[in-house]
Amino acid sequence: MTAAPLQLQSVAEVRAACADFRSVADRLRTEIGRVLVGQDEVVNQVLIALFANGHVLLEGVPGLGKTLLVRTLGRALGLSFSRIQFTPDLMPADILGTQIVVESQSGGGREMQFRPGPIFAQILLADEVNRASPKSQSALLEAMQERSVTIGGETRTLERPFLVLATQNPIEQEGTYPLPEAQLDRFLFKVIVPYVERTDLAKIVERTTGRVQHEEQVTPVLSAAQIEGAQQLARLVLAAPHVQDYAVRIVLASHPTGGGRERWGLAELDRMIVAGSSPRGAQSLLMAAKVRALLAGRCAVSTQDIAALAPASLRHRIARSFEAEAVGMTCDAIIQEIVRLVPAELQP
Amino acid sequence: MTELTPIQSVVARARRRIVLGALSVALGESLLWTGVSIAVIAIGAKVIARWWTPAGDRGVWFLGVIVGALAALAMWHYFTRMTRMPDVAVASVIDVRMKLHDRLSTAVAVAERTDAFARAAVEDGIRIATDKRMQEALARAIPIAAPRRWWAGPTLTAIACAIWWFVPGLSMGHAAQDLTKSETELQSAREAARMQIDSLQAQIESKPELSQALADAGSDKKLSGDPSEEKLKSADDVRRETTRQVNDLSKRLDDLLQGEKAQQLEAMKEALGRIEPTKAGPLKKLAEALKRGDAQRAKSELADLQKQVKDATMDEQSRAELAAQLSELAKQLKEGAEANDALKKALENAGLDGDLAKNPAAAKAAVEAAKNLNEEQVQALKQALQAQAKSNESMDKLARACESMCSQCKNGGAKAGKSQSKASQGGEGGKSSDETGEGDAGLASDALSEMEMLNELMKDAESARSQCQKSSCSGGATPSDQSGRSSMNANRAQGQGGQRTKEQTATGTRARKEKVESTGGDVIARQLVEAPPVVGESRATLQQLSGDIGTGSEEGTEEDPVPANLREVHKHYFGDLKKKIDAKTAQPVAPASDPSASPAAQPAAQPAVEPSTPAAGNASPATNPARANA
Repeated sequence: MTAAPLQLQSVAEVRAACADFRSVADRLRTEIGRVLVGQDEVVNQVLIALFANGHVLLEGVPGLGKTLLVRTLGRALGLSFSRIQFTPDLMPADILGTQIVVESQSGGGREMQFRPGPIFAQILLADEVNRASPKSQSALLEAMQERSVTIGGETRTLERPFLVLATQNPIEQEGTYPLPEAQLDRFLFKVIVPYVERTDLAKIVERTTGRVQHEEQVTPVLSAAQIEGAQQLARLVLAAPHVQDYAVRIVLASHPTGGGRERWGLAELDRMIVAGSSPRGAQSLLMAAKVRALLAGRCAVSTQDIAALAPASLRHRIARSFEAEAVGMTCDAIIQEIVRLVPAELQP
Repeated sequence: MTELTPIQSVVARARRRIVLGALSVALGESLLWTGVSIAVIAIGAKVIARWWTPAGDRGVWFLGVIVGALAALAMWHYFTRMTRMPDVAVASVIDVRMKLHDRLSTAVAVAERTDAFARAAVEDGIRIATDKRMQEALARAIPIAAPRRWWAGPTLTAIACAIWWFVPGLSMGHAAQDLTKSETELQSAREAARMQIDSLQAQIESKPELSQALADAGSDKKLSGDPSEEKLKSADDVRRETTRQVNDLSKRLDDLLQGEKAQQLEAMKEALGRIEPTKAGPLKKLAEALKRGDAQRAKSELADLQKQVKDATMDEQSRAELAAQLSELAKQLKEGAEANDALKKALENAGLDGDLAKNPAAAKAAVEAAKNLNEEQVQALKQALQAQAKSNESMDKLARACESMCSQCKNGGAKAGKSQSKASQGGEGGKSSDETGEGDAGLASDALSEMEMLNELMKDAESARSQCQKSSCSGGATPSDQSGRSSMNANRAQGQGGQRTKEQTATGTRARKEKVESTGGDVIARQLVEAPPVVGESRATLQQLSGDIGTGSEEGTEEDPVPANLREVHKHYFGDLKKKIDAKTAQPVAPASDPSASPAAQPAAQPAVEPSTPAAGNASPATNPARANA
């Protein structure tokens, strides 16, 4: 099912569409907020990824509500939801599905029938994705990029919208398989799930130990068609050339040999970075910025949107050097330094 | 395309503010860097040296101006760059500073697009631009204020000025400074030396007679060596060499002024000075000119006289009077020549018989035979003999001319008539008489010309010598020094700088040269004394001298203290001297020396014997005025 192309002819229509988008997002945020306490920025970034049609890698210690967030999101969206608990013995077929021999319904014979795996859902929770072997992890590659899977020589299109929300634990590295760069690059965002604050924790405790199960109260507020419409609207959001250029400069600045490094004083970061963001990073950054502008009620992207989303968009695309790791310079610190040094004003 | 006037208005206002703000910042930076540069240069110039300030004391200001100019240039470049900023860039600056989420810049950037989102963005931009609070917010976001630390530049400049004017220079790097100074001084000295030498050379070469005379005297008219040459490494060396060369030239000129030609001229003047001019008559002017030594005037008068003598219309009485005066003049000229005053005086000064002057051959023989004369004195006397001979020859020529004219006068009327008739008949008597007369007159004219030439030569030599003395006094000083001195001594030009050193003054001072024996060294000073030099033999007794020595030594010791380690020696020497002199004069001169006399007393005891020794002839140094003068 594909939504009809969005046609906006007048300014009023644009403003109306933007307002609708905002109200829908607000409603969605409210529904999620019924279940998930706190983590507003995480929710916001997940919604941005949803409307930008991108996948999210959630990283945080256990118990912070990552799985709950994804499950609630699935319920609130009214989309099909499935969850895969990644383990070292997980096989690609366990994710994608497999062909099995079944009795022919017409009788008299047997036939091969495809039994879809959990990937055939619109919202996929890949829990502890770094615990599976690279072979199993790579089963997600095609699905995430092409929104289709090829099984037994047959390519099957996944139903849209298709959103992968993977989680990983940053602390337990024993027996894990860090995601390869190629797979990381498929994620629009890598969202760091922080520890909840005191008030939020109190609410969590209160909600989860009471008689009422709040998760059951979540009702779908957004259909798949509406999501696709919102995604189309996000693509129409204006990005002025100099704003787009800012995104490009930010991404280029993440490369050790990127342009303007001496000019902007970025040469100091060269030894901290092994590899910078791919072009997919720039695409993700700009697309996410468009959604952010819409969520803020604007019809054009600003450099502030780009600066705000740069860490989530780029942190998993930058490979740090040994020196950076040794001195404890995180990818976030590198990105913040880049954002601080690269001027937002138009550069000749 | 949507009308962007409100946005453009905001952009234009922002651009002005940006440019002014940038100018303010650039000005502050320029002042700061100019101040820093001047301060560094001033401190460096004081602490290290001045060699790195290209224009000496003014270098700091030159560099300060250069830095300021560069800063101004950078400021201008920045200014023009800012004024050329596109609208979207200015709008972008506004957006960033006012956190407008790029509404203005996006509106400017997509103004030409017609899609709904672009129009919505432009509307957003216009809405922001037309907001009433926009102007105030813009002023806050893009302030025009004095740059931070604007006071630093002027303060540093003031400090630098204070350092430059009030802080004395330290000693660091003075070697380099002194080196530069000495090099400069050396160049100045070389230039001054070159100028002095060139000036003297030019003066000598402008007088052919002087130049020729120097050449004839066997001394090259050119100065030897070049004091400005590179082998002389210090200014003092150059000055010393210049002084040496100038003194050398001065000495050669002195030789010329005291040489044969000078003596000849002196002898001629002395001989002519004996002439007693007639109080009246046709020969009065000639006689007076000759007495004055005015050869030029005398030559002119002689020519006039010849015309008068040849004049056939002259009456007999005038002719007789002229003949008598000519005869008298010829007689006086002969007497003057025969007097040989100069030679006589020279012979007598040399201890020879003055009458030998009348017989040059005998005088020459006597001079060559005199054993008490040294080689130099012999040469001087020979020179005087030659000068006197030439003088006498000139006097003789003049006398002969006068006699010839006298005879012409005596035979004037008849001879003139005869000669006319003989000439018409082709006779030879009158013609030969005329030729003889004209030949004598020609010789007289030559003699007077020679005297005139000698006069000029001596004047030129004197002038050149004065110039040498002046140069020698300046001692190779630089032209600026000389000009300073000349201005200071402007009122004393005649005494030190002029060439009229021998002019007779009201006090009766007359410059005169005494023959002295030089030791061959450089003359470092000369002084004209207003009195004849004391010459003669000392008649002081040894006892008087011994008393004077005792008191003089005590006074001298008080005025000029003797070093402590020599005081005893000094006291012993001069204290014993009187006793020894008294002892020597009390007893007759004994050939055996006193064994008790100390070796130190020997040189002092020696003069005690000399006065009692008979003078060794007239040529002893005591009787030689030249030596005594020396």
